Amino acid sequence: MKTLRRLVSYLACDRTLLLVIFSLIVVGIASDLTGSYLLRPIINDYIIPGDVQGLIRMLLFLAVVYLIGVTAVWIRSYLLNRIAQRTVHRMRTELFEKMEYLPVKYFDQNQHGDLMSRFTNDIDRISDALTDSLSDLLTSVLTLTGIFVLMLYINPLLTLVALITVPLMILTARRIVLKSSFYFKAQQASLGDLNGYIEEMISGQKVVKVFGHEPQVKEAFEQRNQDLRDKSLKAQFYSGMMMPVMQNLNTLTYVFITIVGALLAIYRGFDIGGLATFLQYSRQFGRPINELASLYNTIQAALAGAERIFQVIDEQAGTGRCPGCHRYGKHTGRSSPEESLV
Amino acid sequence: MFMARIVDEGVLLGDIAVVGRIGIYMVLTSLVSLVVSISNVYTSSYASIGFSTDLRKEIFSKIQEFSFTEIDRFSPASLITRLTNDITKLQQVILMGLRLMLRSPLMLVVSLFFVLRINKDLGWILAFSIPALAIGLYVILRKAFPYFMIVQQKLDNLNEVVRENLINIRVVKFFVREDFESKKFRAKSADLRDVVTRASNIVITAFPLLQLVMNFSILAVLWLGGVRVIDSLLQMGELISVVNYLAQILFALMMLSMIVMTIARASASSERILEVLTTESSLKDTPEALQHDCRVEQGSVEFRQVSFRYADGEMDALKNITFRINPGETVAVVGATGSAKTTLVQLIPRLYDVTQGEIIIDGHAIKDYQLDILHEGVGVVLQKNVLFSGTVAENLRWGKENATMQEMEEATRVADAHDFIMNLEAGYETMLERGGSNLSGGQRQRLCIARALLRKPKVLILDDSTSAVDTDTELRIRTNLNRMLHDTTVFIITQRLNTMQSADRALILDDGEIVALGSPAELLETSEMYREFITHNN
Repeated sequence: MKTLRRLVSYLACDRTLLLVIFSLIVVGIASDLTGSYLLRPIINDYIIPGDVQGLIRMLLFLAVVYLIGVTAVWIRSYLLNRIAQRTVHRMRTELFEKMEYLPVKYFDQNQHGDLMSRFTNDIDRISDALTDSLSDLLTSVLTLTGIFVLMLYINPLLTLVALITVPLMILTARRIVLKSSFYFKAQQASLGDLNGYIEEMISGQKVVKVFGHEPQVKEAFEQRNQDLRDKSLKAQFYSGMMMPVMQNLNTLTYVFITIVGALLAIYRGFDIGGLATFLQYSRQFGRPINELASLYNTIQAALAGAERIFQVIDEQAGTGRCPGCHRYGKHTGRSSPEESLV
Repeated sequence: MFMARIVDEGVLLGDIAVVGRIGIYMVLTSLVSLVVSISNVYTSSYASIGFSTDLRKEIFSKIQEFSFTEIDRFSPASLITRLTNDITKLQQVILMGLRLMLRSPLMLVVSLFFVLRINKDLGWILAFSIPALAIGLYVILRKAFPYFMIVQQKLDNLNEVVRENLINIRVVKFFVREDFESKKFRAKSADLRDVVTRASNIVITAFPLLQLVMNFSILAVLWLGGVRVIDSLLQMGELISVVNYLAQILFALMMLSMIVMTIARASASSERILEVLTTESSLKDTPEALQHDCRVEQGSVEFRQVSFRYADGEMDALKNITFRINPGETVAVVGATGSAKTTLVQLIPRLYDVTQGEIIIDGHAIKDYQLDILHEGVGVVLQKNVLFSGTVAENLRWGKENATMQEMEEATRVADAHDFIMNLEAGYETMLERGGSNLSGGQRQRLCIARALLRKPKVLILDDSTSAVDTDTELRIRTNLNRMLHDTTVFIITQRLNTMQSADRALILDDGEIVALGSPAELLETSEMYREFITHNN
């Protein structure tokens, strides 16, 4: 999607840091998966035969793997945090700078509160997505790939079974995406509208008071409030469906794997340790899918917010470049002739 | 659990029927879970969004009750942030909470139960690690709270900068200050960025902590469980189950820690919202007012030793003001800039309350009138002419809800506004752009006068309301007003000599005190300041 790509381009300024984060994520996942994989040898080679000394050694090794993983996660969260905030700062500043040079007519025709909403509410959605979702997104995608490879290594036939539900997942996902993105955009627009109304009424509070207009103002507010409620509800509902649907498709997959895996163990001599590990992996397969599904909500909202921000930035023929990376030309847009300055 | 049985009873014993049967149970359980989950999504969305909608309504109503003291105290930008941004943050917490808060502890408890059923000793591990985690999360929460408070405050500041720029955009452009303002914004934005980063740094320790705890739990289980399997105290399938339950527990705890992090971020928001809700407006109907039903009938206005100081003021803005105005009189209020003319007249409709003394209208203290009745009887045209988004007619109807076209025309003719309205593209149905900015200053003023006139108030206050209008128009308006409002008590703040001279009496203020009050003829004799004023303006 165009908005997504444009949003991502703002991250491009911190390219090197992103690479570091990426490698840290790989380290984290590797440690995660190694930890799970080690179950197989631990069970097969040390517990079943009863080798206590070996068990202790393996567990110590596992502990080291875990520690590496945790440290990697911590550092990457810290770095990602920095990047997210820096990116948001860049977007905010660009939005303001672009806005400042717009002709006065623009400010007359647009509700102040709505414009303010873009700086706070819409930017916040993006900030949330970058902080919460970015690393989880990368982690999930990488984890999925990693698990897939390992599952293939243990037992290709079972892996095939695991993939049966994937096309169904994708189709369902697409339908949900379409519906929810529509409502998220509507939600942010409604929020902007409400913000605009609030700003106008609070600014004009004295007039509201002297004309005793409070009841009408409250009523008009409530109308917009309910509209926001309506749009938000639909947005949340459709995007919220993603997780349970995906989760249950995944559990179904898990069931198939368990049954087929059991059959293989009984009739084809598939080792118990391998079955246990495979089951562990397929459970782990579920986690990134869940994450992606629950992240989806946050990402959708962020895209809706980003669109509104780009709307203002694009008001003036600009070339959405990264202000931190290049200098951009200043444009002194004088207002149209008018009678008063007040 | 099902999986344990599949492994132990099915696989290890080579019994395929068992595998099949348990497999079907698992599918059924999963489908039930799907239905339940989706209804969970619906109900949690409904509840959390309903919550924030209701909260918004409450807070907005509260703000409507506020006097300007309260609005200034919070600052308009902060109120706006609280109404939208803070509430949204709370909504997210509740949404997440409802979706996961019940599910996670439930999953936790159920998994724990199953683990204990399998082997009590292994359960002890969890009894140790879960509280350790809980304590850790609690510490994180407590440390994070003050930081997030600051974050929201910085957000307020940012909002304020944006808002001021939007309001004063013409001034900014006229003085070519776009660059300067941008730099100012950049600084505030960087400020916010740094604070958020610092706050988030605390919160992000939650997940690694969780991982650490769980990892060592797994190690402990493998050790203790493994030893027991070797000693044949535990079955293989059971150990695998426990390890899997641990994974479940990890997932549940991960959800919980996410909630904790979101709560940390939203904790400050909830504090700010409560602050608004618990603030009592300093301007309310007094208990006495609610008992009476007095209306403003004649329009006599009396000030008895009135003094007033703004909430953040260091000195009295008005000192010991005493005067009496009879019904139907027109009083010109005059004085140098800063002599508190606007302050004085704004006390009459109780936009602010006096700090000392009393204001009496028609023999009753204004505090004995219910506020909405008071506002019906006292009309005000403020110095700043605020119009709202909507048509001309809609704006006029603020004066009278169901005003007919005839009534509106009557009012606009007096204010000399009817003609220019008819010249607008859609006449009375013309849409006014944000704040009436497609009208000139003078046109806006005349509309505001018409709006107030529609109310047919007994006391009318005109605060410098014809300053942007040329003298000819002003004369027309004044003549019309004199004709139409001979029963109305009028306070007119003005800088114009002829307005002053055509009033019944003039009230001269200097530095918050009355210097003179009397008819123009009297003042010519008695007041030096009046004489000075005339010479200056001739």
